Amino acid sequence: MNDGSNPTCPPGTATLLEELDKKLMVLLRDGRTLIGYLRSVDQFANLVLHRTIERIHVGKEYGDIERGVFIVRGENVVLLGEIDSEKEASLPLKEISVDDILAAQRREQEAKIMKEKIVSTALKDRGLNMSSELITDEF
Amino acid sequence: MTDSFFDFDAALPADEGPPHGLEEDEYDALNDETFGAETEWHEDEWENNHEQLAGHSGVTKSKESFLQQPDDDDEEGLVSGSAAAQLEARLSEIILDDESPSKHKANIAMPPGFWPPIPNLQQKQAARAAGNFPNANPPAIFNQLAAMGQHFPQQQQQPPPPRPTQMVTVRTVEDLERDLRAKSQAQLHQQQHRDGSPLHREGPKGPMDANQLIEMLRVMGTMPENRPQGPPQGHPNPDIVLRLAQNQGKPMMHQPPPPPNGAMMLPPGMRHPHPPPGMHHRLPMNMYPPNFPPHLRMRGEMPPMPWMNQPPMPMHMMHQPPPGMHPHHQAQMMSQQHHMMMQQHHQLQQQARQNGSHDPYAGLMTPKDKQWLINIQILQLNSQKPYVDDFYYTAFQFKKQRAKEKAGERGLRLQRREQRTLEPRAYTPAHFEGSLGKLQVVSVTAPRKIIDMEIMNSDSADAQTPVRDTRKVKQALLELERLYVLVLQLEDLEHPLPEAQQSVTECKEEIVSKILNTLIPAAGAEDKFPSLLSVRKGKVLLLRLFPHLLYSQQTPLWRSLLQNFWIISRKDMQDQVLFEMFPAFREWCAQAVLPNLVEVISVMLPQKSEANPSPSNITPRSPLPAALSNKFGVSIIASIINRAGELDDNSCPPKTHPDWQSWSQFVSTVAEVSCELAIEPSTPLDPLAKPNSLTRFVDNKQSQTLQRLLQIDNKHAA
Repeated sequence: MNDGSNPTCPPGTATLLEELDKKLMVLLRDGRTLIGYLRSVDQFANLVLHRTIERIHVGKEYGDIERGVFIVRGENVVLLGEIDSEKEASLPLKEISVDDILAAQRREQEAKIMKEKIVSTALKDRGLNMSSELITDEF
Repeated sequence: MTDSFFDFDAALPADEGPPHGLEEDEYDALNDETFGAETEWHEDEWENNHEQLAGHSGVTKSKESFLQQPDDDDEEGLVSGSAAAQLEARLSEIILDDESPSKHKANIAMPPGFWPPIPNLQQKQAARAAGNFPNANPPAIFNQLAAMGQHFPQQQQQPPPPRPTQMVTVRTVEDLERDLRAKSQAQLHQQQHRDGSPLHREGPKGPMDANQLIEMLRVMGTMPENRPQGPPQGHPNPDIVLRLAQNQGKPMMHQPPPPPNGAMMLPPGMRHPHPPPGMHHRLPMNMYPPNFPPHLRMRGEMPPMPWMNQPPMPMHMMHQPPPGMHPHHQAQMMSQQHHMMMQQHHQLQQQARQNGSHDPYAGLMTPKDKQWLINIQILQLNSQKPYVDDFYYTAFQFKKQRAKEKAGERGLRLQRREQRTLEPRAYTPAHFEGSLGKLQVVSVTAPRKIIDMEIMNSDSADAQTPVRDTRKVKQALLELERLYVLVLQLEDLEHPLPEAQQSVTECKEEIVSKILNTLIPAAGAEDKFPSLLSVRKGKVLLLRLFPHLLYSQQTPLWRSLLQNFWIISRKDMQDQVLFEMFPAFREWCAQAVLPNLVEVISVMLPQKSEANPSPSNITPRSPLPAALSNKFGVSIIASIINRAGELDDNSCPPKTHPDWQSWSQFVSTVAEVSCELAIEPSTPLDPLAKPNSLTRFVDNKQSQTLQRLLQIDNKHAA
């Protein structure tokens, strides 16, 4: 007896309730990518992710870190989307171990800092003072 | 005062005054006899009397001694001094008055302390209760119960001393609760050593008050009836009852919304004529095997147990909600509903499992949770004016309905969103006992200003001018926003949706006058027109505004536009919006009479300004050169000249009118300027129709220039 079937949302509204129990990829404001099953939401779009992995992408490679259960505060989510299991099975990217990917990420970060330094010194030479507060990139 | 209570004599003894033999002044009522050393009770006398009447032994004494002092010497050597014995004694005291299995159905489940104690009644009840069990079994059973797992055999051999029932019942419930709370920890350890109860893993999580005890007893009371071969009442019953008591704590663990309560084991609403015979095989729902995976248990899920296939709610309790239903029961009913839903969820799970999909964590959000979330969303959508608050949805629905009607269906009226409103609750701020004053509490429904904070703009020394410019633009934009709201209101007045029309509170004239106040400066006020029109938004605003304006209202606007033509045309290079205004101008011009035209062109005429004597006729800020170099401007001038020609032909006003003077001046000025223009003037959008009108005002040379300028068709040249 299927009593208490899922209630429907009013027309013209968006809701996360349709994404429950699905495998989602969530992009956070600090740049992290989490992949997990969405178990619960609330009115602030806080998310409860289950069996979550954090996937770090560097170039064409990626690495997964097991994280377990995540509770994400809604304001820190940039976007989220359902993961297509078929497409995930045939990823064009190469999976490498966690240590390798972390090393690669570190190298990428260092390269970015170097580049930023060069750019800012070049601008300074031309009289433009670009302080880091003006740059509002989150990641 | 009533002299009878349930046919018992409740009359108080009358005040006797001084005893026999003493006079009034010799007699002192507040003397030692009454209050002093003479008041020592002779315990034996009343105790013996009481024992006879009550027929029970030793229950009351320990309670009394506990009430006085914990260290009181026990006169009869029966007071153990340990908390356990006292507790057990008190518990037995409660139960004694209320419960006896044969009276189970008749009695209403009220703890003895519920009603005010009635002296005679209590004793009679006690006598009745005692009378049914000559071997004092109930006390023994109750003692065991009360002990809650402590020293079972010991208690049986220690019948509690007798006590006056009246005093006990008043205090029983509160003391009991207090003690039980303190004891819950002790019980936890105690129970783990017990052999007969493999099922307990933790003690009751919360205070078990008299209600729970009574329920326990009820269960216990029914059980003996259905256990014909059941073992003697002594041992296993308390086992089961204890387990029941313990497991009452469990439902509390997974009920986040309702507060943790002493959940009744079974739904009170469920009735069963008699406990089914096979009942003793079934245990209440919350019996978990010891190796039950805890995390699953937390969610109320269970692996399919053999007895789960039977109706999930073993209904072996006949419990009619008493008329004066205790608030506990209501909370318990809520927990029952939650319980039911969990089981439905479990059934769904079973089906899903059979389908092949394996997600044991699916469905963590129950439909109830989802409905709650949707309700919040719906609440936020509540609105009395959907056209205003929810414009896009309303407009979309309107369009859909229009399309439907066009397709032929006679559809329903425009439907609003589903509306749910909270019951308006009067806001009462939180109040704490013993605090001075009230709290400052802020919520969505009752906002308060807590922090006095103002935003200070820091002044930076560098980049002043660009800042000023952007600031001006921003100010212009802000002003335009304000005007746009008014224009939207104007448009709403003519919107087909009745709601849209109703949303506008003022009448058209008021709105229009408000707008014009800003656009046309009052005497001496700063003219905002050029700054507003410099922005694309401003021009579009004018465009949308013109259809709503009366003719006379448009004139000053056109005038102002021409006056500030320099700025406006320069800023229009990117936007090119001015051309869209031309049709409006053409319309205006077509209805113009000479005074209107003169008014408009007056800004372009050479002004004899005393303050600024300049050698040239044309003031440096004259818009004419700008107008002539701009296509739009040229078109305007051409239209004006056209119209003047028409008027001239029709001779209205008559040719002797002084306005024609200014007109001729204007035409000659135009000709002059066009000659002096450095750049090639643009061609007008509407070529000049009647060139002969010009000849009246200008000489031939100028006329030719003008004609060339205004692209007069040479065929028509006079």
